[in-house]
Amino acid sequence: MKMLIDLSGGLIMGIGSLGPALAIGLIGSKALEAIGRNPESSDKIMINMLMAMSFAEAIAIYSFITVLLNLHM
Amino acid sequence: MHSNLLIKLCGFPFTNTVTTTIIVDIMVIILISGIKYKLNIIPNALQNVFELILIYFEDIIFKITNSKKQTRAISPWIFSLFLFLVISNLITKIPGLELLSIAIAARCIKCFKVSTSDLNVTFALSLIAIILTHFLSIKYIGLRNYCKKFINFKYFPILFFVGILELFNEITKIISFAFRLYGNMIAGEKILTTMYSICPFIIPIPFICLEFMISIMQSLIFVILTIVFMHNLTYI
Repeated sequence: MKMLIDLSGGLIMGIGSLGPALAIGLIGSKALEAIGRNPESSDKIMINMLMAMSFAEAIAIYSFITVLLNLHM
Repeated sequence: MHSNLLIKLCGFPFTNTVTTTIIVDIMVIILISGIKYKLNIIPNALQNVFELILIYFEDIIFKITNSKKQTRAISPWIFSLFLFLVISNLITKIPGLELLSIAIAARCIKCFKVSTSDLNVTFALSLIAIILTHFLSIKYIGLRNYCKKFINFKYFPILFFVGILELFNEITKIISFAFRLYGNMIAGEKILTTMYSICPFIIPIPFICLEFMISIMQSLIFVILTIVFMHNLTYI
């Protein structure tokens, strides 16, 4: 049982952080592209980029908290 | 969650995150009242720094909301939230502060721990932010327009259900706010602990730099999301 719990922690973290990692990479690349095309609007793009990134990152954080809860059960 | 108990005062558990929170509160009050006491047209160094931060935030808020009235309404709340967050995230990075510890029941317990790595603190902060959003909304656009944002009979089936979804969204906002900050801070703490246990000499330095960046970034993100939610509810 102990081994299963440990394994589940690793699996949750590994699979759960796959999507957010891709999402953050896509957001960053698109934002940089936009800034490259139109450097004057970099302030506005920066704020929106940070916001979108934090929304994507939240999913990875949820999986991390699930792992913590699992380990302390 | 999992902040360590120091003593019990009249039945209330007094944990090591509480001490940090109290110290941060005292620091913020002393800093701000000290600046207010020596307010001058020609600013001294400290006042200059704070004016810089204030102007930066007013700029961001103006860019998001595009109106002078909303900026004046929102900015004081935002600035105080940011000050508390950034100081409480950064205070344990002072060298030596985390080493202070006392022995209770044959266990070594730190006196100070990052206060935002306690779920209670982040939950309280997110509750404050969301309740404040609704309060400001009612104050600036009136109760009638406020209710219109959630209960709408215009194109009957569609906007009515959108309103119900918005109502649920308000509850999930609180949870996501709290978990985002808590998760980020506790993840940083775990990474640093692991790195220190692997090799305490040079290897943790880049992770400490990353931690600095993350703690400033997370307080900024918390504040920017609060601004956006406030803007969404305070325009008609």
